Amino acid sequence: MTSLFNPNDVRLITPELVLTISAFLILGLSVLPDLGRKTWAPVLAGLACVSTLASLLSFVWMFGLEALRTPDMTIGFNGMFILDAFSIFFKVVFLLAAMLTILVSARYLEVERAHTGEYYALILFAVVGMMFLASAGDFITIFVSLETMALSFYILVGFLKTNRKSNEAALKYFLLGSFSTGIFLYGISLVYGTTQTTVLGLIGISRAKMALQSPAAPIFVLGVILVTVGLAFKIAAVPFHMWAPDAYEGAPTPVTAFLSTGSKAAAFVVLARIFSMGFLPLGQRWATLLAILAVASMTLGNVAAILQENIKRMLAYSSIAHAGYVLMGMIAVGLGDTVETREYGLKAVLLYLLVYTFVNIGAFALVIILRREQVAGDRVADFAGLSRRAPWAAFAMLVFMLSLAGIPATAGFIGKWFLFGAVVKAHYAWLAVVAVINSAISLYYYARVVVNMYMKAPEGAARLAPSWGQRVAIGACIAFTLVFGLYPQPIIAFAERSILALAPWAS
Amino acid sequence: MSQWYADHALNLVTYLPLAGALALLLVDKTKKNLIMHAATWIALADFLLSVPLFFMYDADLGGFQFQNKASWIPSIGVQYYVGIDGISLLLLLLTTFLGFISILSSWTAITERVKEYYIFMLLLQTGMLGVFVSLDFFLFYIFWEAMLVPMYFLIGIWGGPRKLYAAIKFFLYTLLGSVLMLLGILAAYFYYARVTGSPYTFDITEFIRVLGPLTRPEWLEMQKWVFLAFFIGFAIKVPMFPFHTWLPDAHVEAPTAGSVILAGVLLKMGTYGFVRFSLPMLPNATKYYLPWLLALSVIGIVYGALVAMVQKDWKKLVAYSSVSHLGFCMLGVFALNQPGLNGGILQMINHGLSTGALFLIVGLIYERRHTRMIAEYGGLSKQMPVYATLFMIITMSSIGLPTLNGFIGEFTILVGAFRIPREYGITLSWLGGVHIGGMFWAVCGALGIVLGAAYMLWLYQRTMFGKLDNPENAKLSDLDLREIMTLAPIVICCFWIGLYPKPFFRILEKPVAEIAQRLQAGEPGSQSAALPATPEDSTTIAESGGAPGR
Repeated sequence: MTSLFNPNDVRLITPELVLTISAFLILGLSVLPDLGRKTWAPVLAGLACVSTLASLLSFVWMFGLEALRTPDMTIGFNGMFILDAFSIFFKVVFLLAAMLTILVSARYLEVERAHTGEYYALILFAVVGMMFLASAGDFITIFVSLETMALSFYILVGFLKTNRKSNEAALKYFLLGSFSTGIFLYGISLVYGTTQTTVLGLIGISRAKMALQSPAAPIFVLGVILVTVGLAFKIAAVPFHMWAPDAYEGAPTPVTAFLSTGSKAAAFVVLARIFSMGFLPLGQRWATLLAILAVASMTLGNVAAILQENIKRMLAYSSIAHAGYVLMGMIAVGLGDTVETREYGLKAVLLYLLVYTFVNIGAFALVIILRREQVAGDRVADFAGLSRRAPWAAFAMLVFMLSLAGIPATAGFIGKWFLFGAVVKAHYAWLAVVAVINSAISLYYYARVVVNMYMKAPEGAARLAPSWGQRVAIGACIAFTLVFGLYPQPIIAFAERSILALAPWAS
Repeated sequence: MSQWYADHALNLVTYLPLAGALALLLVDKTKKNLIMHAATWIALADFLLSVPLFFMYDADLGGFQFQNKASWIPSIGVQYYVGIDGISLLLLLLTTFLGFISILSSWTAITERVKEYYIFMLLLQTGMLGVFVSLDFFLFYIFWEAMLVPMYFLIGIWGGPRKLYAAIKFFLYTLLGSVLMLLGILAAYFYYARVTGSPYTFDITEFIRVLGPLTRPEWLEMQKWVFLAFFIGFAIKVPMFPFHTWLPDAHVEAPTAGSVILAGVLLKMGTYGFVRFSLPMLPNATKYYLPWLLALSVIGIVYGALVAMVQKDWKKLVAYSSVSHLGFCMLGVFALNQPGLNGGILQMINHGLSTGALFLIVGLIYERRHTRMIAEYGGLSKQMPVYATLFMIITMSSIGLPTLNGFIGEFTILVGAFRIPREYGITLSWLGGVHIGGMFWAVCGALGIVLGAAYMLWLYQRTMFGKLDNPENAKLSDLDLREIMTLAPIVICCFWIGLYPKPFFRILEKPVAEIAQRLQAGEPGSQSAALPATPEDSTTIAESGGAPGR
C-alpha cells in the first residue's frame, strides 16, 4: 500500500514551491502602503526575475546537472506528478519565457501607468500552473494546473484597467476560455467514465484498448474528441481560434508575448502528454483530426495575417499558423509506425516550441519598445524607416521575422526543418506540401514589416529608448536565434534527451 | 604554401566577402568612398584568390577536389562539407569574377545608403559561392535560401519604381520553389537512411553514389516525386517556361549590379542544380520526364526570343533574352549526352558573361539618360564610339558569332540535341506518326539562334545606328576608364572562350563524363554496372533482388 502522502514527494516540486512562495511574497509586498510605486515596482520586478532564476537553478541544485541529461522518470503523489526530462525541458522553456517577459515588462507598464507588483505575482502564478502542467500525469492535475494558468492569464489580459480594448479582450478571453474549459472537462469525464481512471499512464497501457473494445467505445472516442477540442482552444487552432486576435491585440504587449509562447507551449505539453501517453492506441484516428486542425490553422492563420494592419493582430494570426505547424509534429507521433518516427515528431514539437518562444518574445519585445508616450506603436506602419532611426532594433526585428518565416541560418529554420521532416518521415507528404506552401505565404506578411523598416522613409525622427532589461531580453533572443540557427546541435541534443523519458512509446 | 592554399582555398574564397561585410559594418556610414573602395578591393581579392583554383584543379583526376569536411550537427547527420569539381569550379570563378565587376560598376550608380549596399553585395557573394561549393544538402540549402535575403534587399532598396513589387515577387517565387525542394531533399534523406541502414547523412556524393543507380521499384516511383520537388525549385530559379514570370520584373527593377548578378550567377544556380543533383541522383525520373523537359526548354528558347523581340524597354529585352538563352542551357543539359552537357554548362558561363555585360551596358546608358526606352535612343555610335564597339562585341557574343564564346556553347548544345536518342522523343500518332525527337529540338534551337540574332541586331541598329536625332543624346559622354574596366575583362573572356575553349572543356570533361555515364548506366541492359561500389552497400541493396527496374 502506498501512503496517501509521501513527504519525500515535496522535494520533486521544489522549483514550483520557490515560485509560489515568491509570488505570494511579491503579492504581499506590493500592497505595503508606504512605499511609492515608482521605486517599489522595479524592485518587485527584479525579485520576480530572480525567483524565476532561482527556480531554474533549483533544478540543478535538487537533482544535479545529471537530471537534465539522463532520461530518468520520477513519479510522485501517486502518479499525479511526473518529473522526467520531458517535463524539465518544458519547465525550462516556461521559466525562460517568464524571465524574458518580466525583463521586457517594466518600461512598458510604466508607460501604461500600470506598474504594480501584482502583475509579476500573476506572471509567476501562471508559470507555476504551466510547470505543473508539464509534470501532470493525471487528468485531475492537468485540469487544476490548466486553470491556475488560465485564471492568471484572464487577469493579465485585462490588466490595463483604463484601456477599453484590454477590458474587451479579457472578457472575450474569459468567456471563450471558460467555455473551452467546460468542453475539456466534459471530455475528461467521458474518458474517465469509459476507462475508470484519470491516470494517463494507465489509460495508455491498457484502458484505452479496453474501452475501444467495449460497447462504450463511441463515448470514449467522443471524450477524446472533446479533450482535443478543449486543447485546440488553448493552442488557438482553427476553428477554435476566435479569441486569439482580440485577446492578443487588447492585452498588454508583454502579456501577449507570454500568452503566445508560454501558454501555447503549455497547451502543447498537455497535448503531447495526453496523446502520446494516454491516447496513443488511437494514434491513427486523432492524427487525422489534428491534420484537419493543422491545415485549417496554417491556411487561415497565414491568409488572415496578410490582411492585418495591426502588428499584434498580425502576430496573433501568425501564431495561429504556427500552432498549425507544431501540430504536424504531433501528427507524426500519431501516425508513426516506428518508435523512431514518433520520436522524430515529438522532438520536432519540442524544438519548435523552444525556438518559437525566443523568436516570438523577441518580436513582441520590438513591438513593446515602439510603445512610447503618445505612440501606440502597434501598427505595421509604425515600423516605417526603423532601419534609419534605430538600426539595431530594425536588425533584431529582421532576424525575428526571417526566423518566423523559416529562412535558413536562423533557429526558426531548424524548427521547421524538423517539423517538415517529421511528416515526410510519417509518409504524410501532402501535409508537408501544404505546410511549405503556407510557409511561403507567410513570408509575404513578415516581409511587409521588413519593407516598412528598410524600404520606407521614417515618419518622424523619434528615437527609441529601450530599458536595459529590454536590451538584455532582445539581445538574448537574437543570440539564441542566430547561434542556434547556425549551430543547433545543443538544442537538438537537449530535445532528444528530453523525449526519451516518455517511456510508453516502446509498447 | 600551395598545400595550405589547397586545403583552405574554398573556405577563404567563400567567406572572405562575409568577413569583409562584417568589417564594413564597423565603418562609419558617412565614409562612402572608403566603403566603396574597400568593398571593391575585397571583391577583387576574392577573385584573385579564386583564380589559382583554375590552374590547380587536376582535370585528369576529376572528382571533387579541395575538399573540406567537418562534423557539424551530428544528431541529424549534417556535415560541413565543401569541394568542387570542374562544373562548380567554372561557376565559382564566374561568381567571383562577376562579383568584382558588379561592385566596380556600382561606384557611380549607388549614391544612397552606400554602406548597406556594399554589405548586401558582399553577403550575396558569400551566399552564391556557398551554393556552388557545398557538398552537403543541408549546407547547400542554407546558402541557397539565405542568399535570397540580400538579393531581396538589393532589389527592394536600390531598385526602380516598382521595386517593392518586384522584390517580393522574386522572394516569394524562389522561396516557394526552395521549400518544395526542401521536401524533396527530406524525402531522399529519409529514404537513403532506410535503404542503406546507415546513419543519417546529407552527403551529396553519397546520395548520388547510392540513390542514382538504385532501381528498386519503390524508389523508381518515389524518384518521380522527388524529381518534381527538385524540378520546381530549380525551374523557378533558371527560370524555365512557364515559371519565368518573376524574372522580367526582378531584372528590370533591380539596380544594374543586381541584374548582372541575377542574370550572371543566380539563374545558374538553377541549371547547376539540375546538373549536380537531378541528373545524377534521379536519372530514371529525369528520363521519364525528358520529353516534357525538352519541350519546356525549347518553348523557353522560342518564347523568350519572341517576347524579347517586341520589347520597348531595353532592359526588359535583355531580361527576356535570358529566358531564351537559359532555355538553350537546359536543352543542352537535357540532351543527357556529353556534348550537350558540355555545351549546356559552357553556355551557362557564356550567358553569365554576355548577359552580365549587356546589363552593364544598359546600366551605363541608364545612368547617363535615366531612361531605358529604346525609342529614346538612336545614333549613339557617333557620340559614344567606345561604348558602341564594346556593345557590338557583346552583341555578337550573345548571338553566337564564331570566334566568340556564344558560338562554341550553342554549337555544342545543338550537336548534343541532335544526338538525343529516339526513345526520348514523342511520336504523334494523330499526325500520322510524326516523330518529335532530337532533330526537331535541334531545329527549334537553331530557330532560337536566328530569332536571337534578329532581336539583338535590331536592338543594336535602333540604338547605335541611324541619326542622332534626340538632342538629349547629343550631350552624352563616352565611357571613362573605370567603365571600360568593367566591360573589358568580360570582352577578353568572351574572345578567350571563343578562340580557345579547350581548357574549359578539359576541366569539364571528367565530371560531365561521369554524369553522362550515370545516365547511360540506368538504361536497360546495363543495370548490373549500376550497383554501388562498396560491398556493404551492395549487400543491403542486393536484397531488392537484382534489377527490378526492368
